[in-house]
Amino acid sequence: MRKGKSFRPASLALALIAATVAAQARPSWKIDPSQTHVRFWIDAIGWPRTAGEFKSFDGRIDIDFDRPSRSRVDFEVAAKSVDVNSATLDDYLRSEVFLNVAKFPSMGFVSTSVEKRDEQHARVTGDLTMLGVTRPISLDVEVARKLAATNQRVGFKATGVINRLDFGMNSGYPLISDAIHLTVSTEASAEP
Amino acid sequence: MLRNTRESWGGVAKTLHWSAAALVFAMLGLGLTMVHGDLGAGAKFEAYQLHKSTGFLVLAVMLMRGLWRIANSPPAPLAGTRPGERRLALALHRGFYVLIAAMIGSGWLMVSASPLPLPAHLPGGFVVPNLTGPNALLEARTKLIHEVVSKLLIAAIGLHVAAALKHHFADKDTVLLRMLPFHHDDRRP
Repeated sequence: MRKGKSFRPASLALALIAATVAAQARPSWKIDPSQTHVRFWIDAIGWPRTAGEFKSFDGRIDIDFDRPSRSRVDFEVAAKSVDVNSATLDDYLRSEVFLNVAKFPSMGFVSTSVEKRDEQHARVTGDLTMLGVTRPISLDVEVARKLAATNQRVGFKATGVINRLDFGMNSGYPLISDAIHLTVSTEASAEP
Repeated sequence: MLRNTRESWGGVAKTLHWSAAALVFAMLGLGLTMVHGDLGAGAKFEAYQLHKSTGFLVLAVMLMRGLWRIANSPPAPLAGTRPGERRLALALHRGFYVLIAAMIGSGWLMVSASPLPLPAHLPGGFVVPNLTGPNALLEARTKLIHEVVSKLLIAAIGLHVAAALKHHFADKDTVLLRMLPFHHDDRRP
């Protein structure tokens, strides 16, 4: 009995070590916040294009170049960090009319599948949560590998269009378009 | 010298007149710029909010003007003014009140009826209540009225300035002088 009991934790520890070793075989990736921009633009009739970005975000990225479909990404954005270069308009966007940041402080994206198109392109599908509503969206991603002797960096530029009506953001429609154009650019570096 | 005399406008009337003139002039310039100017989305949005808030300042000044006009009789028309000229002047002056009231009313209704809720904010955190709920048709109509009346107001200002200059340079009378700040005309006609 004693042997049996001590055997189980030992095998668990072995399994954990094995898992850790396996995880370390792939480098872990760190997003460089200074090279990361979560940008958007939206058009309206009789109004100039409104373009801005979310300044506060947090993202994790896991890249597997050998098996791209195993790569995954998740991003979280603080809704109140919206910046369209006008404090007054920022406040209006934060109000319940649009982002309703008091009730929904964060927006998030979690990938569900990554499909490699070619060496520089991938299509990432995932779930976007905005205003508490989660809907699948697809993003086209441009990948730029920058290999250096000491570390390797990868640049990503993800673009996509979402329909804000899907998330219950109806204000101003149809004068204000239903299409929100997203561009997320980021750079991640591998830590060997 | 705060009150009007038989011969000249007093300090209160002059201050209200020139405050309204400056505000209306600024509002027309701001309005034309924000609608037709090449502004970015943020600057355009801020211009609209400033225009809305300032509109209520115009309302306050015009209410004070109206009350002061009732409380304090304006100076008598200059001796020698022809009856037709008097009637024309009176019609134009009343026309200003009507046009500015129409601008304020159509502007307020337009903001109220907008499908995108965005009431005017005043200093001190006061939010101007809406006169009506969202109504796209009403918004479109009041927007058209606001635009047409703004053109009439510009025309009326042109006539008003031309008349003042005509009195000063052609007729060489005191009609313009007696509305100027710091001008005290004690000559009896």
